[in-house]
Amino acid sequence: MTGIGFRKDFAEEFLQENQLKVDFIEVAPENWMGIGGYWKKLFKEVLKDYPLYTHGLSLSVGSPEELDFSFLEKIKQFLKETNARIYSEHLSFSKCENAHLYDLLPIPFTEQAVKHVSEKIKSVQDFLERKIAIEIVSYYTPVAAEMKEIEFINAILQESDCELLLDVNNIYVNAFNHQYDAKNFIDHLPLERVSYIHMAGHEKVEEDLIIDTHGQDIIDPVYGLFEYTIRKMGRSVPVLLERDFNIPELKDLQKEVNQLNIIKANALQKKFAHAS
Amino acid sequence: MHPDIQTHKIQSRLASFCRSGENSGLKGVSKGRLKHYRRLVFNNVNSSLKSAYPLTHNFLSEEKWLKAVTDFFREHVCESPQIWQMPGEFLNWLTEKDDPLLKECEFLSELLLMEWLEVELFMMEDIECEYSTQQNAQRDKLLINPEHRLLAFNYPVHLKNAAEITEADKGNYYLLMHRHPSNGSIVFTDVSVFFAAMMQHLSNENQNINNLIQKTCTDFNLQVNDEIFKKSKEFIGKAISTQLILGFTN
Repeated sequence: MTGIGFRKDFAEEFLQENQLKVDFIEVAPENWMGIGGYWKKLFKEVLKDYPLYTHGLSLSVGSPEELDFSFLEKIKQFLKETNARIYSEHLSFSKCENAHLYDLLPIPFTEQAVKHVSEKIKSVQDFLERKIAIEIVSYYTPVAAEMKEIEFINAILQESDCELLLDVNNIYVNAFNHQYDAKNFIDHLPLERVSYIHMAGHEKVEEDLIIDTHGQDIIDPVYGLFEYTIRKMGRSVPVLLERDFNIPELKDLQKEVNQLNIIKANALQKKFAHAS
Repeated sequence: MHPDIQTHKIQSRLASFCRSGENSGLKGVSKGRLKHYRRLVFNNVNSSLKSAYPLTHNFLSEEKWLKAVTDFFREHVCESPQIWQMPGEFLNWLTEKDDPLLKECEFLSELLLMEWLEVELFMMEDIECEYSTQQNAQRDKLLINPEHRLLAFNYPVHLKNAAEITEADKGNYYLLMHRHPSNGSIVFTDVSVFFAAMMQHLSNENQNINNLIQKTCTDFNLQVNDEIFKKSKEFIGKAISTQLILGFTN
């Protein structure tokens, strides 16, 4: 299954024209819950035709403060009403001292953060009565790290017993920005926990720095890393194409979706051919 | 120091840097790259505000606009997890602190309010109500569209380009904004004080046309006459056609 991050920028076109054929859509609940009028109508329309995956922005499981349970209750209601198949969030913080920042900041890789964040993810899963998938975010500088990134991530995945949303582009971006081997990083992830994959483009803003913009086409090395990941996993999981800015025509997004489908099919074929 | 406190402190410093652009001793980071977080976070907030307040943004100099946004994001604790609601907090923040920006130009608070209410009305949850488009003996009370706002202004911010508004325009203006049930668009209707009062009555309580006209005339010490009745019926007819008035209820 391959889906598209459903954005208001192309929502009408997506519904009216048949230029982008996907298996599911993904939205951020924050952008579609508690609203009415035009967007509500349009959202209802799209839900008639597509299963929904959700990817939160503001729960901020990495915040130092406690979870916002009233907000979580609204998320739960939204997931129920829309019959959402997956709820995922970011391994980052977007709120501090109760002030929302509306962006994803890196959590310090510390033992205390592991404990605190894992507890919060467990609380979210208990409250929602479902497993959630956590995405490894792109980051541009480590923040007072006491351990390696991979140790930090794996400890949280294990302690919280949550699923992993593997954003392959983020792994590529982080490997480039922090000069490590992306494939080696993937090798050390618990791939059995991967329930969902994100793919996107990025922008190189300095000689040694990439920003995860979701505003460009996916580049070949990221496709290559995607193929590597699928082969390594040896199984199919839903894949999402994210495009948030600088959005091209839908037929061009379709080309990227097709490319993802081809790579996934080939990678799995090779894997099974090799096994037999 | 307890490590938990240490981690919390680091996160607070990073968040504070993103909100203010001032680094208060954040260690263990790449300083050359830290600036990107401030840039990305601030740009996101600034574009959301520009998108909610396009008229205000066009009217103000870039310097004044950026100062207001910078001060807001540094000083205000943004409460809503939904970014589309954040511009409403911006307006409340400016109003509550009686920001000097609002004093510079008398109509700015009205312009901001109009722009924010347009966003809020456009996005707000649907309010369900039962009504009929046909009037009959049992169902003769008018029902105003509950998705509306009635505003009284001292300046014609809904009628003129902000750059062209002068002191000479000062007066009494009334604006009705409502969300069209079919297409979700926001309809702006400039109304006289008489019809503003009439819609206020209707907003307070569903009532039939005759009572509504009578009540409004009483407010203004007027006797209902043919002319008033005719004009009122015309206004109500037009309000029904734009779905400011949805129809009839009992």
